Amino acid sequence: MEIQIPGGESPLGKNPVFTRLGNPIPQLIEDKNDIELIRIRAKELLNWHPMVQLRSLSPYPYNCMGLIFAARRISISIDHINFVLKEDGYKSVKLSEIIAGDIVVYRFNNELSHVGLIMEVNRTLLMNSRVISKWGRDGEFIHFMNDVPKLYGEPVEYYTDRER
Amino acid sequence: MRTNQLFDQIESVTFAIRYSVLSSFKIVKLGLQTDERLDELIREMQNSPEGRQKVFERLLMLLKENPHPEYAHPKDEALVGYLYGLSHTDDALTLKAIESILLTPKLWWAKQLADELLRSRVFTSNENVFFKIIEPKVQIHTQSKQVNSEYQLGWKVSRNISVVANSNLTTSSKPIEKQYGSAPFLKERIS
Repeated sequence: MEIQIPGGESPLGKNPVFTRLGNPIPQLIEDKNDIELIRIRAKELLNWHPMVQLRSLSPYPYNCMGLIFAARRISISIDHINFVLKEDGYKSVKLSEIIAGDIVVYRFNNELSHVGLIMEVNRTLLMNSRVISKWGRDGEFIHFMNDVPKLYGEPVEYYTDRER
Repeated sequence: MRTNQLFDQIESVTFAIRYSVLSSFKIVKLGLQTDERLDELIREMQNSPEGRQKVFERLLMLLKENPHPEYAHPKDEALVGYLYGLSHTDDALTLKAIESILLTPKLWWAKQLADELLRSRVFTSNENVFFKIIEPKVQIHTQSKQVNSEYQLGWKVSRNISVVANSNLTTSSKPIEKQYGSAPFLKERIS
């Protein structure tokens, strides 16, 4: 019997997830995490980002893409985000147009790095809008839009599935 | 800075979270390229065969350090750092490190870097090319199978690879078996 093992990407995976158009979203086959290790890392991340609030820790392997597009069930490479956004009918919006529930995409050195879900918009200082996102294999955090790990770079693109 | 101090830094929680928060291997590579601790480690290794051997042995030691083997390997980020350092300084040790990493379960970024190095690099030793595996035909398949109640891990390189191996990459290729004599771990696993 051949099985999928961690360390790669599978077209379907154990819990297949499909776009709104019905096409499968490739998923990363990751191992579960030791919750004690995740706890230690979350503490260190909060030291570096004191304004950030820890929402949850989970040994289950899902990432920022899995949080938003797969209800915390799987990990999806950020490289698939344009495919998923297109298949799910998302449209690009300006920063000034965002509302809660829209999506922010980050880039580092012009490379896709991270995605978060906008929770609350600060119209006075848009970068102080609150975002919820899963930080890789570590915790799920609530943070200001630009208060993220250095290698996430900057928030640069915004998307909505609202009909306009 | 002494190598032992760099080991402490690279195996720290601070180093780990720089990479564990990421969801893109491209960003991991950008992070490795701009990591001052790794820059310093590479400088230490460049002029010291003993230093390179020390890093290699440290990598082997960390590979075995997984107290909870049901979970993701806790030293994955340090391991990707050491493999990155070796890949910039010593091809022979890099190949051995790749072999060990690919045979160790529960790794993530370290395995991805090992895969990429194996597929894209020309490995040399004493200015002789070991071999070059030419993209895109090579496929590294990581597999496991169930035997009785146990899972057996393994991997193989697909047969349809193109290999060039000689001293200057311009003369005709040698038979694959001889080429892999410089990397015996590969020879055993070619299907």
